[in-house]
Formats: sequence, C-alpha cells, structure tokens
Amino acid sequence: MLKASCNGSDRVQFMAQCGFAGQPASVLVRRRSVSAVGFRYPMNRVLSVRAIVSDRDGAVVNRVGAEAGTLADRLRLGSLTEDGLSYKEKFIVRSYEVGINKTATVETIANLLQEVGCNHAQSVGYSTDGFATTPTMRKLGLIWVTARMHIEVYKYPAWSDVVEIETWCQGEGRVGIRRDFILKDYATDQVIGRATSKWLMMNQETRRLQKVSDDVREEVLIYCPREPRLAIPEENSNCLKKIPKLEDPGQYSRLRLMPRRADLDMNQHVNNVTYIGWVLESMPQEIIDSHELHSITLDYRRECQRDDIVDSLTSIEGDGVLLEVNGTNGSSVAWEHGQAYQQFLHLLKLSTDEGLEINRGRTAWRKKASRL
Amino acid sequence: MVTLGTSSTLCSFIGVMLPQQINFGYRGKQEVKHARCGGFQIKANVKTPNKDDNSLRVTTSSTLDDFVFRQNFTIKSYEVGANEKASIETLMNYFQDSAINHFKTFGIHRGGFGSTEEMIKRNLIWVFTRMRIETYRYPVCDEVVQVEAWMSVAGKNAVRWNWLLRDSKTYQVLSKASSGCVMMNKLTRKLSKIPEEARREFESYFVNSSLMIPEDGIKNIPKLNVTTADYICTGLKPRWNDLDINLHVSNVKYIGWVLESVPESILTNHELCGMSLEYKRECGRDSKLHSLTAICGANNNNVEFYHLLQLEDRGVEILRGRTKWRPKL
Repeated sequence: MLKASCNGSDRVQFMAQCGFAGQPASVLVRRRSVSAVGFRYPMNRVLSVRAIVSDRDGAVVNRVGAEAGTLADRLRLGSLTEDGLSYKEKFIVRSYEVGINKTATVETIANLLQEVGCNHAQSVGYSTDGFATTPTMRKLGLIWVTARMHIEVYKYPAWSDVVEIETWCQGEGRVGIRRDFILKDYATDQVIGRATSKWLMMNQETRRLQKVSDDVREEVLIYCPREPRLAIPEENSNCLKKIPKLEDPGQYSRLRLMPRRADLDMNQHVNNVTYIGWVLESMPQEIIDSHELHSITLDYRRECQRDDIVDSLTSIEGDGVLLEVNGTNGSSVAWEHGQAYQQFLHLLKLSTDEGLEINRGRTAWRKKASRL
Repeated sequence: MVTLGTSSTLCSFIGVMLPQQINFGYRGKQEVKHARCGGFQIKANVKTPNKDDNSLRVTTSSTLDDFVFRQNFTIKSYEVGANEKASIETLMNYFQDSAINHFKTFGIHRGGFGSTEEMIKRNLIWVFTRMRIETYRYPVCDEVVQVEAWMSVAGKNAVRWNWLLRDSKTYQVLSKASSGCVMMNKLTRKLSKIPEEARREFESYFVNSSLMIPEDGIKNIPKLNVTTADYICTGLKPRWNDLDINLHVSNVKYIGWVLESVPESILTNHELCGMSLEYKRECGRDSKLHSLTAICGANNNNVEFYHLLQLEDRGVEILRGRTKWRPKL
C-alpha cells in the first residue's frame, strides 16, 4: 500500500492555532467535507500560506495570502462543474513533458492526473493537508493510500496541445474510494484517455486498513456523485482484472534501480509516478520502438524509500510469446473494440534476498501507427 | 540586428545591467503576438527610440521589449521537491520552454526543439553547451512566476539565451540564468558551425545585451577523478523518461545526477543558490554513469562544490560543474 505524504493533521492544527483558519484565504475555508484526491500531495498546498503566516505581520499576511490564492486561481484554468460534483481543468503540454515519441509521456499524464485531483480538493475548499483527510479521519488517525491505479491513453497529446481533464470521486465498497478521470483533447473534444484510481483508508499508526462507520464516509462522499459514474464502465476492462504475480526472474528485467532525490516526497517515500517509470524500464526495446502504451494498471503493495534498490521484471502475459507481425492469435493478446493489444505483466520488488514486492502491474500495448 | 545605446542602468533589485536606450534597426510596426503557450512578445516601434526609457525602471517592460519574450508559469504540485519549493529542474524546464516558445514566435520554427528550415535541411539540432543559474528565492507550489527570455550573440557559432524569472506580482527577480547553445548534426552527432543560411534566419532576433551573470570565477572548473572526489555516487542509469525528442538525455536531467553525490547534510541544511554546468558530451539510454563531487570552498556557511559526471566504464566526461549553496533560512 502506498502512503502519500505526512502528518497533515499537525499542519492544519498549526494553521488553526495561528488564527488563520477562517480568514478569506484560498484554503481552509470550509472544512465540512472533503473529497479524496489522487496520488501524492505536497504539503505546501496549504503551506504556501503558512510561509506568510510566519511573517507575523497580520495585515500583510491576510492580504498577500488572499491575493496569492486568487491570482493562482484565476490563472488556473480549472473549476468545478455546474452541479459541483466534478472538476475540470485544462493543461497545456509543455516541451519538457514530451518524450522520445514527441508526445506527452505516460508519466506526464500521471502527473497531470495528480495535479487535477489536488486542485479538485482545493477548489471544494478542502484542505489538502497532503491527503484530503476529513476532520473525523484526522481524529481517528486515518489516511488515504493508493491501492490501484489504471490509466488508458488512446491518443497521446503532442507538445502544445491543450488537454482538458475532468475528475470526480465516489465511494467503492465499504472501505474504498475511487477517483475517476476523463481526458479530452480540448481542441477537438475527443476523449483521448481515461483513468481510475482506488484509495483505501489506513490507520497511520498501525499501517493497517480500517473500516469506518457510515457517517465518517459520508463526510468524504458529500461532494461525490450519488449515481455511480464510472470513467471506464466496460466490465471486461483491465482496470478490474486481477493481476497475477509473475514468476521470478521474468523474461526481461532491469535490475538495481535507485530512487533519485527528485523521486521522493517530503517523507522520503518514492512518489507514485516514479513507479510507472520503473515498470517501463524492463520493457523490451523492440516493443518500445514499435508499440505505444495503451494502458497501465498498477497494484501498490508496499512503499519504497530512499535507500531501497528495486528490480523491475517484465514477462509477456499468457503463453509468453510475442505477436508475430500479422498474427493476432495467442493468449498474450487482448482484444478491445476490435483492436489487438499485446499484454505484459510486471513486478517491482526490492533487490534484496527476500525480494519483497513493491507493486505489480499489467500493461497493454498497441502497434504504433506508421508515420510518414 | 538590434543594437543598444551605450548608457545602461542598474536594475534596482539585483546588479543586472539593463540597456537604457535602444536604437532599433529596421523592424516594422508595433505588434503584439500572443503565442499559444501563453507568452507574448512585443516588438517595439522601431522608428524612434523610446524616450520613456531614460527613467530608471524597476521592470524591463519597455527597455528590452524588442524581442524579449515573457511567459507565465504556475508551479504545479509535481514540480516541487521534498522541500516544498520548486526544484531547480523545474526552473530549468521553464527557462528552456520559454526559449523554445520564443523561437517559435519568430515564425521560423519548423520542427523539433527550435529547428529552422535551413537546419532541418542539414540535419542540425540545437544542443546546450553551458548553463548558469543563480537563484535568490525558489517559488512555492501554486505561485505564478514570469519568465523573460531573450537571445543574444555568443561568437560565430553559438547562441546565448538569457533569462529572468520573476515573481509575477512584485516583479522581483527570483532567478537569473544564461546558457550557450551550439548546433550538432543529429546523424553524425558531431558539433557543427552555424551555416550562414541558418544564421540569417534568426540573427535579426538577437538582442545585444550585457551578460546576465558575470563570467568571472566560473571559468575554470577542474576535472575531478575518483581520488580527488570527496563523494561519489555510482550506478546512475538513464530512464526512458530522461530522454528527449533528440533521443539523448535531456540536459535538465543531468542536474539530478549531479546532486546525487552531494551529501545529505548539505541538501537538508542548505539551498542551491548558484550553479554552473558545462556539457561535454551527450549520453543515451544505455549509458551508466557515476557522479563525483568535491568540496571547493566554504565561507560564511556558504559551501561550494565541483562536480563531474562521467561514464563509468570508459571514463568519458559527460559534464562538469560547480555549485554554490547557502544556508537555508
């Protein structure tokens, strides 16, 4: 299970003690309810204001804090939808976010999903104290952790394209919350991707999953649509399928991957997006050259820290045989909407004798369209 | 080519020399172009020098207006580091993005990162040879910053990019940077002179400005080796995400590797305030590097280091650098 960020509760209490809560700044306005947000949140969503609080100049603090909020809000191209149940934001793909294919990388897309989830929480006045934990959750010492993430991309946006992402969350089962995303090319209104992520409540102390009473969950779900709304409603979608553990040593591997400083959050835990990069590291070159990543599904099992060293293993799913150029048979192939996808299973594990599992994944690849 | 008048004035914030009078060359009428990226470029009226420029200005708005490009960025949640501030890589990304977008507004961009028609004909691409950044304050998440970028001459076969990063509300300079770019043949991977035809395409956009960051003291960075280094980090391997459209490791990613061998105590208690990098050679997917760091000096609690990135097996030098650190507030 991947824990994202740290003791938000302390920071929020600090803000309250400073008498800053309740000021018309961009955060901590309404604490009635919260929405779960995706991936990792930096503490300073709240703390960009905290930095000013330490200034000790009350008048300056309020004015500058409020201005900082509104200027960023104005320039942020996102807002809640009319019914208040979802949030949309536009992003432009920058030159440094494109990869070898001249299109946005899947890591860029994952970063944007994280960003929009975070902004959704902030826009409902929810204190993104790292996690979008409700006041009751904080009292009970509970935090959200990512359990599964699934991203599908049909058309990777190119440099300078504008992508509009809509996101919302809803309950899932007794302990879970899911956050869904739809990505559209803003210029054509075409859906270019969909994603869904599942989050569970965990006790911060015991590090165990915890079930909660309905009213605790209600606090969380108040901003979520009541009617189930799934970004990926298809029942045979990879986002629902179990991911088996592949057999060590795997058909392809890239060993001894190390977290870099940029991969770590404030608690020195590796952030979710880094795992995507590690999973792709052991993909065979011929697939990277000839195919495009259609979807990736990751189950998070264990968090990874600064000094951990990780092995990335990949195997072709099913009978372990790659598609021939024109062949479309074989159990390593999945069919969806009349198109064949080559599937792989992945495992990230610690590079120790025990080899504890960090996460497992499945990817599906489609042949690249021939370029002129 | 645009030339500047002789008198200059000091920007009131930092010791940045700003041109006070601009004699414009032959460019046309006043025009504001809005680039898709959100930046804009103003070409000032070229018939008469702008008399308003005689006063000391806090901002550069009318002085370097000709061919200075401005672009706003909002610091995103994934662009901050563990210290809750924008990382140095984020600042470098903004600088380079604004340079590419500036180049695009010239109307001569035909593909890749700033390749013009004459460059594409000859299989030429731009590569960075050096990068210098000084940072006074790192912006935090959600903060909006404004980057100003302009291009100036650096000899016959290189181009210099200059940048200022400002707080978009107060216009205070948070960071300034400059870099050198040269052309490389993407097939032979060898550096190339700038062909006359290519130079003609963009030479009219040069601003002949004073250097943004003084060059003194940064001239000679010694080459470290395993015995002279104080800290070494081995086994650094490029990931897919490190490669850019030119299929080599993007120059921004090298910074992360340089910092890998900086001791943890420095990263915890100090902040990177100056960095000077010289790129020697590119590396690709299959490279394996080590990062060497040596203490170069310390005074007033500030620390300086020399750095080297090298291929582990053949000892080929990829980059050398120097960093300056000041205690965190």
